[in-house]
Amino acid sequence: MNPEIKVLHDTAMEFNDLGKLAGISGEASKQSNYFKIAYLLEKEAALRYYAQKDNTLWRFGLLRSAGWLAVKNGAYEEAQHLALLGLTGKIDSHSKEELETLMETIQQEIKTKDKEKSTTSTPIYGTLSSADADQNLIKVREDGAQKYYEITVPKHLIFDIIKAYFGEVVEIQATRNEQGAFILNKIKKAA
Amino acid sequence: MRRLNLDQLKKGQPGISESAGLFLSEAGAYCLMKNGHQKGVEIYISGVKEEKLKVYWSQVLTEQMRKTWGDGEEATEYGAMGIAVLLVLKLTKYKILGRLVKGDRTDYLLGNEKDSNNPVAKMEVSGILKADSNNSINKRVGIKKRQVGKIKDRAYPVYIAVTEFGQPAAKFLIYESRN
Repeated sequence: MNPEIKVLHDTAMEFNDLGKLAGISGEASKQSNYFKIAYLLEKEAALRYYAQKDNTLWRFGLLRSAGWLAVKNGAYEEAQHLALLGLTGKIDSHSKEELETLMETIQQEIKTKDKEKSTTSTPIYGTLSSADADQNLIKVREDGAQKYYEITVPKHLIFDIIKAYFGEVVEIQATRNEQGAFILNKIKKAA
Repeated sequence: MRRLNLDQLKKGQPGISESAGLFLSEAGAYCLMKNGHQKGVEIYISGVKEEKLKVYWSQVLTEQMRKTWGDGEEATEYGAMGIAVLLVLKLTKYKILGRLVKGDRTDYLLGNEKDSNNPVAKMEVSGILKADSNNSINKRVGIKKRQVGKIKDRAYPVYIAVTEFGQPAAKFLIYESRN
C-alpha cells in the first residue's frame, strides 16, 4: 500500500474510533461528524487502491470497510457502488461473501428508508390551480414559485375538494407512495 | 510464565498507529480491572497453543476511565482487540498490517512486516466482558467458527480470537484454507 493511501486509511480508522467514543459519551453530533470524516477518508483510500488494480486482500477489504462506513452515514447509494466495485472482476470467495453481506444490509436499509419516507407526511402550501376529476388528481402551485405538485386524492372526495378549495391557498399533508407520487392525507385552507 | 504486556500496544504496529494502540491498551486494562483483576493476572490461552500467560499493564482505574468506557460494551470490543493483537505477536510469525470496518466491528489483515502490501491472513476478533451461561467463550467461538467455516475455498487462513475478561481466557484458533 502506498504511503498516501496508508495515511488516509489509518486516519479513517482513528476517526471511526473517535466516533465510537463520542457515541459512548452520548455526543451524537460529534459522533456523526467523526463517522462522516472516517467515511470520506476511507472512500478515498479504497478508490485510490482500486485504481491501482492491485488484487490483494486490501482491495476488497478497503472497499468493504468504506462501504460499511457509508452505511453508517446513510449514504446507501454510495455504499452500493463501493460494494459493486468490489464484486466486479476476480474475487476470492471469502471477500465475495463479505461484500454480499454488505449488499444485503444496504438493500434492507434502503427498503426501511423507503418505508419511512412513504409514511412521513410532507406539508405542501400553495394554490389549488387545476384538477382532473377523471384521474382523481389536483395540482397545487407553490406560492411565489412556478413549482407544481400533483397530488392524488380519494375518488369520493375529488368533487368536494374542487368545490371547496379551487383557486384557494391550501395547506396539504401528503405522503409519497412507492412510485414517489404524492397521496393526499389532509387538506385545509391555509391560515 | 510468559507475559502479555498491554503497554506493548502503545508502540503501534505496521497497521495500528500509536494512538490507536494506546486506545486498545487502555480498553484491555479497563476490562480486566472492571472485573477486579490486578496486574499480573493469569489468562488461559487455548486453540493454536495451550498456555497460561501473565497480563500486565500500567494504567490505574480512575473515575475518568469509568466515565469514558461507560457500560463496557465498547471497552470489551477494543480490549478484546488488544489481547488478540498481542496473541498474534506472541503466537504467530505475523504482524498486524491493517484493520478494517466490518459492520459495527473491526477485523484485521495479518502478514509479514516487510511485505505490508500483501496480507496473507485475516483475523476475526470478539470479546466477552464477563461470561454467563448464555454467553460463554465456547459459544462465541462456535458462532465465529460457523461464520468462517462455511466458506470452503478460502484463499487464505482466518484466525479467530475470542477473549473473556471475567475469568481471563482467550481462544485463538486458525481456520486454514481447505484448497
